[in-house]
Amino acid sequence: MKPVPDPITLEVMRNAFQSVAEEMGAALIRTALSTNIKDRRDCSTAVYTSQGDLVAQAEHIPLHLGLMVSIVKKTLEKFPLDYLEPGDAIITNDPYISGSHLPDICMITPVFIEDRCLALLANLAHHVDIGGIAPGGMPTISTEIFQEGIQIPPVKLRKRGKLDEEILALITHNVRTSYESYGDFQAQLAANNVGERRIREVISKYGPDMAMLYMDEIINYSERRMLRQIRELSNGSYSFEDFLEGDGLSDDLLKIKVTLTIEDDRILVDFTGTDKQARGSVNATRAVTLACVYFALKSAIDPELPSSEGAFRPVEVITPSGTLVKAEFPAPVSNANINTSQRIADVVLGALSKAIPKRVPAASTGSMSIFTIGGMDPRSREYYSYIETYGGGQGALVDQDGMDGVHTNMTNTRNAPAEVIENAYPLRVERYALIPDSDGPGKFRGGLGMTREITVVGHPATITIGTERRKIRPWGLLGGEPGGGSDCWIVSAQGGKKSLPSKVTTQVEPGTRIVLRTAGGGGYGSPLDRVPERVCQDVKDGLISVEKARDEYSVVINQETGQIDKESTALLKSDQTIKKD
Amino acid sequence: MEKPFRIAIDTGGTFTDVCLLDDSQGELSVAKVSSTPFNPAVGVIEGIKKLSEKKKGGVPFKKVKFLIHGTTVATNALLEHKGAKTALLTTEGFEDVLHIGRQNRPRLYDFWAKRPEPIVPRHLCYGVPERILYTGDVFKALDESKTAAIVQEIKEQGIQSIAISLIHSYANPTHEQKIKSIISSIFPEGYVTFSSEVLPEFREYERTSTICINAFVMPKVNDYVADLERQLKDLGVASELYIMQSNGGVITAKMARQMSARTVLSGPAGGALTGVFISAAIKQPNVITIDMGGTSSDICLIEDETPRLTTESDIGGYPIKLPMIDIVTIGAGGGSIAWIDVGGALRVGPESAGADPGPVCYGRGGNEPTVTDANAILGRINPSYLLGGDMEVFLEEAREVIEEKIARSLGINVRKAAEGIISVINANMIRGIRRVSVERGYDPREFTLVPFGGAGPMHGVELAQALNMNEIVVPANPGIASAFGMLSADVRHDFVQTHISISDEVDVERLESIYREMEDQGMEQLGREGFSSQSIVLIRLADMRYIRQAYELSVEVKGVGLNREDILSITEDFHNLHERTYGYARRKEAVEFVNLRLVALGKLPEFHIKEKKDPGTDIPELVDYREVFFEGTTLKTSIYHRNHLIQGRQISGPAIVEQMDSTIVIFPNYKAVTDQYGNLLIKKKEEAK
Repeated sequence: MKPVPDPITLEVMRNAFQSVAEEMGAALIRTALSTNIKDRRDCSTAVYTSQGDLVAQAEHIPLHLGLMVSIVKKTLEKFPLDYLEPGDAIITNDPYISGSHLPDICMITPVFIEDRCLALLANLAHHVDIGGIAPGGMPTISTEIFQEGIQIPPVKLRKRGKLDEEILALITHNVRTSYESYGDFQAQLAANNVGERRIREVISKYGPDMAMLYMDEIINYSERRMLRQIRELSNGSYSFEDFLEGDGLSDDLLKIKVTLTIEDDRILVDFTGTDKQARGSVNATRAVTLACVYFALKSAIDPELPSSEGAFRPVEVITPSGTLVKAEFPAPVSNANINTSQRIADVVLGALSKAIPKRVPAASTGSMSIFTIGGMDPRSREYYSYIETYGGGQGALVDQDGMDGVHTNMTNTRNAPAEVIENAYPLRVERYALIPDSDGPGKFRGGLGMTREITVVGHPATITIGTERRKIRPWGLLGGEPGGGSDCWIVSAQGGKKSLPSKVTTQVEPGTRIVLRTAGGGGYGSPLDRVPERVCQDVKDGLISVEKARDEYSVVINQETGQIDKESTALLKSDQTIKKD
Repeated sequence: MEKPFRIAIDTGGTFTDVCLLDDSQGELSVAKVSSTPFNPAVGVIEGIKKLSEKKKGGVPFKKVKFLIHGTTVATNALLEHKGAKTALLTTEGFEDVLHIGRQNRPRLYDFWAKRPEPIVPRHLCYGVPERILYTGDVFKALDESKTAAIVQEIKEQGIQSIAISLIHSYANPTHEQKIKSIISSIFPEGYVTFSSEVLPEFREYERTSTICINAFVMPKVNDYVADLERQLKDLGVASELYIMQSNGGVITAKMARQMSARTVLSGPAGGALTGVFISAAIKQPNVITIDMGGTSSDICLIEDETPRLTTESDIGGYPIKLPMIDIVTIGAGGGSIAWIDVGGALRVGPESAGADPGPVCYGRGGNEPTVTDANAILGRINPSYLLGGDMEVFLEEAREVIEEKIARSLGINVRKAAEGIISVINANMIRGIRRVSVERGYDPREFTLVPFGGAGPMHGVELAQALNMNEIVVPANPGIASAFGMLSADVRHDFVQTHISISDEVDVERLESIYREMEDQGMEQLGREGFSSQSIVLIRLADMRYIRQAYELSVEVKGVGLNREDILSITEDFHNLHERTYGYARRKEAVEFVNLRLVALGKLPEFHIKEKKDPGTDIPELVDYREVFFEGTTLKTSIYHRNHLIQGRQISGPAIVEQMDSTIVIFPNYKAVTDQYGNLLIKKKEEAK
């Protein structure tokens, strides 16, 4: 008799498989060489059925949410189960298979018990370098994938337990940081070894049949949970579009459009109407697009939903080929993870805001705002490379202001402390601050963007900036106003100021100060409805100016006392209301 | 030498626990009184009095030589945002250091999850015109007149406490010192905390956060400690007041009034020390403690009789960069609520009924099914002996709620549902234990499990079984383990100085002189506290890393009078530690010194608990039999009273051992024996053959 899964064992087994994934993740982070994995935690680990269905995942950045669902199945298409033997480890970084950009290398290993493959394990790790035209593997100037680094089709790095040193040499020889890469491959192997040992323990405790039954049940559980949550939403179809400000090669606006249809317990997300793929590297693969869709839906509908194959079964996503959301070979894709992903998340959240406005924030800062500086360190005469992504303002919520100066949506990496930057690089941080008045006004205001000002000390340097939301600012919701736009410029040692485009690679002279400002979040609801005391508090805290309080919020603050001038405020508000009507 | 008395008092959310050790007899007595959140000192004094009344002939307070206190005053001030009105002075251009933090959000998918509100509001974060470089060189001199104007403004705003944390202050303290002197001339009544004194360590956000926390809680801690000292004096207690710190050591009340942030995790640290005590007593250097209370469980790993320390902790989202015992807290306690989620899975916690209204079976208005209710239904809790019989158990009500809210929708009977609740909460706790062990490279099978807290000993056997841990040791007084652990604490001061330099190029003399300075500070401090040089232990440590790594590992620096060869052997130790911790070493790579640390310990005399002699009979007195549900079946189970278990007496599962503040569940395939210190050692039957 086939056993029937029960809800108690389900929860116990879910904990067990989840801890397998988490322990793999901990092992990967613990043994990795590069700070990318160790500190920024740009990696994921997961457990799958032998068919490649995701059972449990430990992800540290949301971008990996969609990648891990599709990655193993895509690889199995090229490398069917029959070809797998105990002790094998397949690796790939092909964006047209793995779905991510080249620096993300995926490793898959089968778990065999008595000649039967009972489960698959996978991890994804962002390597420091992958060769190609620019260090770091994320060039803004590439026009085809071949320029972005070495492409690894699915190959066995380990065959029946024996590491293929030749393949490893071929790869590490092609990257700038071969020592780190070699170490990170070792960490990836170690992570899956930990996973295999653990999953054997689970399987031997419960028996193969029970274990497989509950792997399927965990997947069904997530699906049931998502179906139930979707059923709560009202049916309807909602469209939304937004733009990227250029592909790194030109400033032409690039449109991303989505139509989201809720029908009973299913959701259809259709990107028809999105612009054709671009010449520059802002093109997303389907898997990146899925990650953004899943992120938006999970956050808006069920933030605690465990990641598994079942979680997004009720969601169908249409991505027309040859567009920004599903690029075709050999389009370059390296920068989609940084900027395009944020815009895809924005449009899905925008469409959702029409269906469930109370569960979605206004637009957030809308870019990971990447900033790199490289050159010869005059202290050590060695080449250095500073890379950081900057947060901005979070979009406001129905009942809460957006957070100031924070990473939102598809990323969540920590900043580099000024004291660390100055110890490690020939740079001086002049300022690291929130930008007053960069909020999107609203009943609840968007978060403030932030600024970092860095001076290049005693040497010329090459800088690369990748930002967005300068012209088309983060939108507000239900009467909320857009957040302040991004900006960047340089100030020479002599004091001359020069504006820079939002995406740029350029040389700067010694003593140049580079100023980067990120966008604020959009507001929610009419700024006229903001409680005047909150406006007053923001003025007191220096987050908004007296002028902005008056012009945008219609709240008059007495400069002397710092208190609200109630009479003038009432007068101004009634004027504004009349104007609005 | 006259054998003194020692007292340890731990203030908890619900109860204040008091332990008294009569050092001459090795006799321990304990008491529990209700906590008094409006003024915790009331509970402390009541507890001491109650203990004295219980003890034959009372407690001669003038003979109390050590009085150690674990307090939540700092913790609560921080978590409830009820500290002093505090201002921050930092370098111009970095006023938002607290507000930006590390720019990350607390939860990936929850739009509403905010970072906690900074404890210093933005309008009280002042930028001072000055700048020091990472080398310690002054890039821009301090503008003293502008600084004075700022201090004047702060004074007029009614600020109580000032935090000073300038960029690169660890490399050159002069600007901070100047600001401090400006404050003492303009605003002498203000409390001041400055980073080059309290925490000369790099990474500005974590340092500034720590400095602000100290400034924020300091006035409250001062008031509290002063009041308590007065009351203890009135009582005639001879001992100075020692306060438990988060690092597992104690400090004098005087020190706690300046370094108040060191006391934020003082209670759980006491629990970890109980683990250390037991580990030494049973000669098992590796133990994992789990302290399961009403709403949460604190888990701590102890290796070689030493709890793991961390400098990466945060309290309620506020980072504190001071050494603390590494304790993982998970939302699993006796009051954790069972529920069925929309996907149809049985879940337990993290929501908790806490102490108020508490579990259904306590009859205080709780109407959600909890872990305690499940234990009651399974017969594991004595229906007529809660808190030694002081509290009634409402078993029927618990049964109804579990029937209605869990069993019916799962289509199973109430006992199955109750067993399910226990399985699920145990699964959560197992994940927590794996997190402190497996995820940090330890194998739980090499550890002994030490469960305590009111609820821990009920779950210990099942947890150990699931993790293949061989032995479970329940301390004699599991309900007051934190207070007990504090009895064994030493006085401890931690010092740190950031000194970033590559090991090949390090200025050895400079290194030695930094250690010397810290040692002098430590000796001086401990000397003032009455320690002779024989009872002082100094430990030098260095936080090291491969160049530009974001993490450091702490290596012990042995010996004094460092030379080049010592640097090589320290570097070698670092490679070895790195290999042990992370599985690899890069022996050809250059290594960096980052922070130099000094631990100064003032050793308190060791104490001994009187061994309980075997009275000669083998069979402990059986109190009763009860039907208890184990793994699907009801078994006739022996019930013992903990007081009747004397050294060497064996009991065989299924059995339940009851005591005033806890219940120990011994599964059918397990047996237990009491050791000479009153600990209950539980093992699998097969293995004991």
